[in-house]
Formats: sequence, C-alpha cells, structure tokens
Amino acid sequence: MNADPQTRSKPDGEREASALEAGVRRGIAVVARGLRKSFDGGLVRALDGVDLNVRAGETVALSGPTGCGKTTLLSLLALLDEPDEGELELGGVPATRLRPAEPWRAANVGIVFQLHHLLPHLTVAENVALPLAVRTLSRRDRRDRVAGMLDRLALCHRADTLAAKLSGGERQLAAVARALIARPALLFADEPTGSVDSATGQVILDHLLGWCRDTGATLVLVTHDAAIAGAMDRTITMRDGRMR
Amino acid sequence: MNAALRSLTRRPRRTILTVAGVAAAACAYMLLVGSAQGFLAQFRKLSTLFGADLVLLQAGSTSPWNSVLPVQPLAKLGEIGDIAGVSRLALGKARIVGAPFFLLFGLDPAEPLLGHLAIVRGRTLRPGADEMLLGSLAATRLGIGCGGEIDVRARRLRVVGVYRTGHRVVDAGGVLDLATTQRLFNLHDAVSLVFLDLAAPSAAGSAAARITARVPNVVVASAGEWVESYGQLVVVEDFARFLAVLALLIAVLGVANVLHVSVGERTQELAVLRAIGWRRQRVAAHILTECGLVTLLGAAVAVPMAELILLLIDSAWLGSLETAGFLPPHLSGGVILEGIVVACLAGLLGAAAPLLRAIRVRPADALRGA
Ligand SMILES: Nc1ncnc2c1ncn2[C@@H]1O[C@H](COP(=O)(O)OP(=O)(O)OP(=O)(O)O)[C@@H](O)[C@H]1O
Ligand SMILES: [Mg+2]
Repeated sequence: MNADPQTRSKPDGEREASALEAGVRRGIAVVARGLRKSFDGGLVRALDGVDLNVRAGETVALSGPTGCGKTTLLSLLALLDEPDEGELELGGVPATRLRPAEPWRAANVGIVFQLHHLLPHLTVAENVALPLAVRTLSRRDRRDRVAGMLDRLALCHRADTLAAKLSGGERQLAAVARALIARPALLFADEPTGSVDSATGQVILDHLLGWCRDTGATLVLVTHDAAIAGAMDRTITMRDGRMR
Repeated sequence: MNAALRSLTRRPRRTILTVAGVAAAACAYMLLVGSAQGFLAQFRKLSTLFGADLVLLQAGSTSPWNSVLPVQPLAKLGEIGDIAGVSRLALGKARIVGAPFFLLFGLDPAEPLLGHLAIVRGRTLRPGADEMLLGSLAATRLGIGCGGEIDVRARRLRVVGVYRTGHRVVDAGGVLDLATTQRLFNLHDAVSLVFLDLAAPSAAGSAAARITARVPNVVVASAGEWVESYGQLVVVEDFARFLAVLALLIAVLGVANVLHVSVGERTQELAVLRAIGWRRQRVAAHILTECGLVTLLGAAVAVPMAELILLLIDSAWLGSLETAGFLPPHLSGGVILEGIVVACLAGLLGAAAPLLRAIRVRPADALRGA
C-alpha cells in the first residue's frame, strides 16, 4: 500500500509539509465559528451561524432534514465557496490564507459528489487521473498511481472503459478513486451512497473509512442513513442552517 | 492541449456539428465577398479587354448597355486627327434557348476591334451575313459549335466560329456583325461605345480634350478607366462592402452561438474540474484551446466547402451561363486568406462569451445536481 502517512509527507516534492498536514499533526482538521451563508440576495439563509470542530483523523457523519444546509456547509469546508460571515480554519490555518483554493484543494482535499460527476467522454483511468493533471508528476508515476488506486478499488478491469458506459455503482467507485488519487488528508463526501444499492454503498463506505484508517485522513460525510452514520466516529445533526 | 483534443475527438458528433457551424459561417463569408469581388473584377477587366486607347460613351448613360451614340456626331471624329483606328461596338441582350440573358456584341468586321478577337475554332464574320461568333464558355455550356444555329429575336444565325478572350462575361456571349446587331435591336445607325486607336497613344490627353470640345453629348475616357466612369460600379462596390460586413456579422454570431452552446452544455463538467483543483486559468485555457482548434478546423473545412459550392454553381448542372460569366470559378488567394482571418477573428470574438461563462462557473455547483 503506497498511501500511509509517511509516504504522504514526502512524496512528489509539491505537498511536503503542507499547512494542512502541519495542522493535522497538531490534531486539528476543521475549526468553524459562526459560518453564515445566504443565497438569492439574502432571501435564502442556507447557513445561519454554524460552529464545528473536527479532529484530525476523525470520521464525522453530517445529517439533517433536506434543505438544512449540509451541502452548503460542505462547499464552504472544501473552499468551493466563501462564507458571508464567520471564521474557518483548516489544519490550523485561516481559510483566507489558503486562497487561491484550487492548488490547496488539489493537494489536500478529496471530494465525492452525490452524483458521480465523471466526465463521460473520458475513460475511468483518465477520470481518475484528472486531479493529477495539475501536479508535476512523471507520466509513469501518474500511471502507476492510477493503476494502484484502481487496484485498491477493484476497478482495474474497467480502466479503459468510457465513464458513460459504467454501471451506477462502478461510476461511484470510480468517483471515489478520483477523490483519493491525490492522497488527500481531508475527505468530503455528499451522500456518496445515495444513488447506489446498499451493497455497493457498503463497499464505498468501507473504502472511504479504510482510507482514513490507513492514512489518518479526516472524513466529513453527509448521509441520511442511520446505519452509515453509525459507522462513523461521531454524528452531527443540522437543522435550519445550524448545528442542533 | 491533450485534454482539449480528447474533449473534441471523444465527442465526434458534437465536434462535427460545431466545426460545421464555424465552417458554414466562414464559407458564407468567402462566397459573399468572393462573388462580389469576382463580379467587380470581371467588370473592370472589360476596360482593358478591347485594347484601345480611348473610349467614347454617351454622356449620362448608366451602363455600357444603355449608352447610345448616334452616328452623325461621330462623323466629326474625322476632323480630330491622330486617330489610327475607329471601332464601333453595339451591345444587346437577348433571351435565347438555354440562356435567358445572353450578351451580344456587334462589331464591324472591317474595323480593328474584331481583329483583336482570338478565334479558336472556325472563321471570323463576313460583313452583313446572318452569322455569329460564339464565346468559348457559351459554346461549351450551350453545346453548340461551328455550324450550329441560334435564334436571336426570331432571326436564325449561323455559328461560324468560336472565340476566347479569357474574360468570362465576354466568353459567355456572342459576337455579331454590327449591321446585323443594329437591325436586330432597332438601333438604326446608333452604337453603344466607340473605341479609338491613336497614332500617338501618349497624346491621349489632348486628343480626348479635342473630342470633348467638338463632339456633343459624349464622354471620353482612357481605355483603362472607362468602366470606372459608370456609377453602377460604385454601387456594386458599396454593396460588396456591405455584404462583407454582413458576412462578418453572420460569421461572428454563428461561431459565438456554436461555441456558446458547446460550452454551456458543460458548465457542470467545468465546475467539477474546478472542484478537483483545476484553477480558473487552466479551465479557461482548456476552453480557449478547444475553441481555437474548432475554429481552425472550421476555417480549413470552409475553403474546400466554398470551392465545391462555386464548382457546383459553375457546373451546367446547378448554374447558368450568366452565373458562369459573372461568378468566379475559384476563390482568389486573397479571399481565402481573408476568410481564414475572418474565421479566426470570429472564433476569437465568438469564444469570448463562452470563455466568460467558463470562468464564471462556480466550483460549488459541482456539489449540486446537473
Ligand atoms: N446556489 C444556490 N442558490 C440559491 N439557493 C441555494 C443555493 N444553494 C443552496 N440553496 C438553498 O440553501 C438551502 C440549503 O441547501 P443545501 O443544498 O445546503 O441543503 P442540504 O441540506 O444539502 O439538502 P439535501 O439534503 O436536500 O441535499 C436550501 O434551501 C437551498 O434551496
Ligand atoms: Mg445536499
């Protein structure tokens, strides 16, 4: 297995001692204070003062009724969007110092979307390799890493299949592979098992939790499923844009 | 580059449609501008075709076809001196079988102009006979050669020879004896234009001044520029320019629309790329490369496409003798270059909107459904 914390701390010369990992070593992954976010010119209050602490290596389930702001919170934590108000620290570093967010995200964050969102015209291997396109890696390293990841997810036989031709479960597995390929220390998943049958859902969950166990990565996972939430270290419930 | 290429090659149907859209716009530009320029060039070439030094036209006439010069004032030309040769030309248009708009040139076999005509088959005209020389283009298109007959205004004329000038409008018509033409078109002894050969071509200026002073109602122009004295040309030129602007507009809007749709379909895809760590610049470069490739490909396809359309119009199958005379059979290098430049310009302008759309994509949208 090429993905333990040691190889992760000195791999391809780009992500050595990233801010996040420094923070992770101090034991903090996410600290959020009073996060607010509204849409449509303030008409829709998606987040209304969210406080949240997540320790490094912790796996957290985020649940709550539909529309309570789970996806919005996830997008703020992954720096996909900016809060209107509030403070956010990732690995002990204020989020404002982590912009532009893309290089930071490329090096530290893996996201599994509710819908797989693979690029349909690319093969599984090409989709999985996408996050590596922004890294300076040799072609060979890239290929080896993709092969290793597909092996881990038992997707080798699908490597050269176009994403559009995969089954629903295979797509979501490929999406997990894409999320893990950059060896992220922070994993976000938005109902990753929502669109697949329960057996495949269990496989996906096992892979995500296995990754965290193997590498010490932190996972925040949105789910409506009590059984899945039960497999996590802790469950946080939201309501109307706040922690309950 | 790789990603853009893959995006194009792996979605061949969309790529073909997009390229076709760009090509159609560039093709429209080349055809519109090419035809207008071709028409102008044909018209201008008439000037020097007859190889005379001076040309007389009726003052105030709007085209060679409605210039009428009565013969009496022309008698005064004898007093001018320095004139080595006088050639009268009577122009007529007739509907004949196979050509609804057939140009006829009436020339006197005894005057120099007919002698300049290169006869490629048969012989030249005999004075006063009901004979005709057919232009090479007309001969091919009408399928009539020496010995054939053509009815002009209910009079049967025998084709005795075929000429070629290299001028498509003239080669798409026929040459008659001057007297026959005047009879057929009720011109009495009037002619349309008179071409003068001077003993001393360098003295053309003073000769022109003397003619203007003595012969009433006549405009004297040097052979190189008599066509320019027609206002029609200015109208055509303005119209050509208007067409070019219109074509450019069509091209830009066409390309913009095609690229906009092709990028708009993929905002979700671009949001995902942003979410997995592609920076805005990278996404923009990806889209720009794609637009650039599509534009270049479209321009490349547009050239043979336009050539093919011209070929079809020039062929007996789709075209007529008139289009064959006035439309260029090929695009000039200049128009091709212009078309490619316009396509690239249109691509550049057209890519602006989709590019803006691409860089405005919010990575957070990747978390939301398509
Ligand atoms: N881009 C947006 N524009 C307008 N309103 C938005 C936008 N994103 C989210 N909202 C609104 O914010 C609120 C919270 O949305 P969010 O997607 O975070 O809920 P959720 O908890 O993820 O719900 P679900 O369980 O159904 O996925 C909703 O009322 C939603 O309509
Ligand atoms: Mg949601």
